[in-house]
Amino acid sequence: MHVAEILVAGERLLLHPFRALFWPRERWLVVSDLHLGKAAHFRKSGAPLPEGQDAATLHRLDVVMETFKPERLLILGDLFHSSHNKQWDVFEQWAHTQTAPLHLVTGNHDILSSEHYEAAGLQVHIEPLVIGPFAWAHEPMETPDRYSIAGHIHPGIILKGAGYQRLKLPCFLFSEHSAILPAFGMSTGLFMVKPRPADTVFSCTERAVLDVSRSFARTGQRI
Amino acid sequence: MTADRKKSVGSRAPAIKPSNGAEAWFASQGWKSLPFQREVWKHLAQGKSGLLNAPTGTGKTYAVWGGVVNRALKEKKATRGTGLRAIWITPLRALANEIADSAQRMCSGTGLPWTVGTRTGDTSTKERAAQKMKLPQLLVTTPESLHVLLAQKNSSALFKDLDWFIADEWHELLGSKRGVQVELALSRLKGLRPSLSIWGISATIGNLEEAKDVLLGQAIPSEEGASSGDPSQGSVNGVLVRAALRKKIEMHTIIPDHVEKYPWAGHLGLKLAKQLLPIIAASTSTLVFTNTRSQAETWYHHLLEIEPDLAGTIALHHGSLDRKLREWVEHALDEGRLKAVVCTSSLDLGVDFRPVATVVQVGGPKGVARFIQRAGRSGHQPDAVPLIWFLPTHALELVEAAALRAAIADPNVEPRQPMIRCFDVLAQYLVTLAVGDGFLPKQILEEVRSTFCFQSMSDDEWAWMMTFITTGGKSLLAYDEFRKCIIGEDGIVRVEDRRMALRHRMSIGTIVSGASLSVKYMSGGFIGTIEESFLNQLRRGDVFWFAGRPLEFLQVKGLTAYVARSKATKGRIPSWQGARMPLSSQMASILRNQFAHALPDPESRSKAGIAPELVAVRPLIERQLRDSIVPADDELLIERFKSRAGHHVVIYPFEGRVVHEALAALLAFRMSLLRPITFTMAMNDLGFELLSDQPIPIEEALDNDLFSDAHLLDDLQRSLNATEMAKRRFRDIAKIAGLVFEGFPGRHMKERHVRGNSSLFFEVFSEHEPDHLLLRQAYDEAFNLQLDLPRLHAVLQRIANQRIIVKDPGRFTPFAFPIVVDRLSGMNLTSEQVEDRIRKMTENLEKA
Repeated sequence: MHVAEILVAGERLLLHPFRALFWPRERWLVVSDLHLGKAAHFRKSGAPLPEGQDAATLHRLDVVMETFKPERLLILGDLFHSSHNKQWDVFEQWAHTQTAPLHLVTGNHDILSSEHYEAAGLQVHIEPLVIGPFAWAHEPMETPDRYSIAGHIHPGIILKGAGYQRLKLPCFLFSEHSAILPAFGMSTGLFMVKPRPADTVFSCTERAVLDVSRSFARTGQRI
Repeated sequence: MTADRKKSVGSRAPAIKPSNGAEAWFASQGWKSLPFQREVWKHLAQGKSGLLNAPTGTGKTYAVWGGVVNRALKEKKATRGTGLRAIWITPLRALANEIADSAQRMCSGTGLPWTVGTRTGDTSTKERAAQKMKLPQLLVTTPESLHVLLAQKNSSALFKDLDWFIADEWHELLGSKRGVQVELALSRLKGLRPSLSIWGISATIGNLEEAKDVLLGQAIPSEEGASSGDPSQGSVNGVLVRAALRKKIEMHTIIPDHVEKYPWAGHLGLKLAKQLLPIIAASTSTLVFTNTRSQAETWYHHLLEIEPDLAGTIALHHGSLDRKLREWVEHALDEGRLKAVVCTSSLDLGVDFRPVATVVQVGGPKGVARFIQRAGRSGHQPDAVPLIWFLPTHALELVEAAALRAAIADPNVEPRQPMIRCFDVLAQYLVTLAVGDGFLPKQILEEVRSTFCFQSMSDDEWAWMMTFITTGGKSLLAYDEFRKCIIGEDGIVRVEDRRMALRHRMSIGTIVSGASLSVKYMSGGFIGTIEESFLNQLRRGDVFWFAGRPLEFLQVKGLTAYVARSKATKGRIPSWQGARMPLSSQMASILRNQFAHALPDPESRSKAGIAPELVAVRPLIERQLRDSIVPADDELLIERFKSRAGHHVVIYPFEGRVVHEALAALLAFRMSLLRPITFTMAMNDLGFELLSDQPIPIEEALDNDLFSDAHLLDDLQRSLNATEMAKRRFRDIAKIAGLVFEGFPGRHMKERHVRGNSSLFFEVFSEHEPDHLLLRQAYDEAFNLQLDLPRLHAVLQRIANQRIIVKDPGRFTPFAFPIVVDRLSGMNLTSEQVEDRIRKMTENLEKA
């Protein structure tokens, strides 16, 4: 496992290959866009999608929790894909086994009623959470005097190499005043972003987070 | 209709005493029936089923329809059914009206009080509603519209009087999933009407007997023994009638003045457009066939640019244009108001009454059968010779022209392989029935098994299928959210949810295209449809050419793209998926021979007896010989060179694109075992390219039995996984089986979070339900259709006896150029760690 490091707004942040971020000074673990319950939601609308991805997502969450032993877990929105279904109970059970406090900054997908969040022991933030130099939000935004970190768009990049080779990968994207985290959930899709030369970009594979900023260092991207 | 055209049906002859209604009507028109027409009438009089092999323009429509009319005229009033009596399937909705018109003319002329109607994707809702009240006696329709009919409530009652089923242009449907749709619909109709008489009409293909058997299917075992006592009746053991009217085809090739300067690659051929102008001018009507819709748009635009006087006299015709526009073009062509129409396969087929004077084929038609069919659009008079011009789009296509010339002189036409075990189509069909009248599984199982496609379906597979449409599949049994079909207490499977039913009716069909949007003027007026993927590249104010006009893109609302007329002269041309056809294996072998003929012969230096195209292409062949070789029959050529893109290895088996795709994957896989390496692959009909960022260990691989026949099956299976061929196959399967849904019109974005995409399903099935039948189908299709094992064995054995010649030409050769430049397939294969690839990609940038 190759965990990457970056210094942002005077703070050291660690980036884990499972698409999670750890803030060592406060011992916060941050993940975004889990989209639990998606398969069940699909089934309700007539698409026969088997279960399995939720279990994988929660298992990976266990792994990163075990790795960093955080003091709290912050979920940057889109925890649950849509209206309530049985997969919420699965998450609730998982939540009850956790010792660290769980925080949710709600995203556009988080439409459950507050009882459900309460039952899972989640502390819910409807507004971006401002702590220290950071504003933690679901949707990317610019905040005066704060460095904002968000999710929402499921950022991905295309790397190009000799021999017409191409790789599509999820990424962490750090710009001057804001950053975007990759989606933590399994099979959640990618939205391809075009980093600017000044941005710092990290690609995620299962084993490593690698700085690929140089691929975008010139006019953005070369063909 | 002119006198000339009437002649196309039969020839003028002294009247003989008519023995039936059709004969009498023929006589009244001044025609004489042809032997094959009388033969089909005789069989139909006896209630038999069969297949008629007759080319377009020979009177095939009246051969079959005359037989139906004769028999109907003999019916006593009291026993005569008054509902829907006959269904006529056509693969092209553009043809439906013409067929209906001719059939109606014959009914009226013989005094049969029948009405003829059409029902296709183009039929208005108003007309559909009227048909719901009272169906015509003959319904001309498409496979998709027939299934939509089966999805209506009370649909079984619609077919209670049905006696005849005709599948026109069956060769077009056979070999595709649309053909499977016809098989399935027929199995239901046979179940309802065991004595149904079934006829197919097919152009010449290599497997006519099989084509007949696929259409007719097996008799359906019936509990009550409902089938009639006469064994010749019903659908088994049908007859094959051959029109035996083989026409000579005259072919001319438009040869570039300077082959050396003619492009080595590309697929547009616009440089030769000027030479087309005199051909159009000299002829009363011309069809210019292109291979893709995008190419048709480009050619239409270009012809007007180089000859503005053509404005108003030429038109454009392809499947994405509005029906009204297409119909206008068809009528204008018919009435002689147009000099030329640039078209795609949308005008491939034609009924008997619309001959044109001249046909032009732009670019290789990729198959003998298609070429002959297109040539047949001209010269319909019995004594006229069909004439077709071939316009090569790059220099090496001249060799393809010579191959075509050889092939039509001795047509040994390709077979069309029927598809088998298409569980995606079956899933769709079963839900169609459930949306309609509902079905009894036991009964439908018998019917489905009577089709050629599903004759080998096991009980387990059927059980899986039933689980799939009711609970969503084995792995979903634990969840109760999924409800599509519900098994009632009476044992009947139905869809009860109205929204689900509506959604299903909207997605009936097996032609999968990218999500498409309507193109409309802001002021109103529908122009046609373009694919979302093209639209996504446009910004407000961008100009694109569509329907032969420059249009300014304004905005997207729901599923409609709004545009305004533009005055710009330049603009992008939309592209549509499903673009190019591979060369048939038959053509591939003829092509291989032609290259041998193209070699300059130092001994005789005689050009006599050599096709003119091969003489023309000599400068290119000489260039190839200077840098490399033209391989003889007992040689396999491998070229190796380096370019800015990387290290190339190009191998030329001359086996056609499909085989090359499989071989490329196989060889890339085998070499990837030698060391961590990543390949990008490209191929055409002559050969294939392996490209890598590092030197390709071709010699080491050759020493390690690169072309060995051993472990072929295993290696292919692994290369199939490595290249995601099955995943690509799964895209269509997921849509056909109803896993993914394009969304209701106007609710485009809103539905997106449940639309999903096929790759999500592919991933989840692969991980959590690897024995999913639709997943297995994707692998089977990739294996059977793309990796044709027997053929690969034969190819590898041929290669084993060949001398392998490795050349280092130092630059692209004429053979390599089209492969390297025309990179269509994005097939990749790697044995490197992804992290190593990322590091290389970022580090190499430093050097560049």
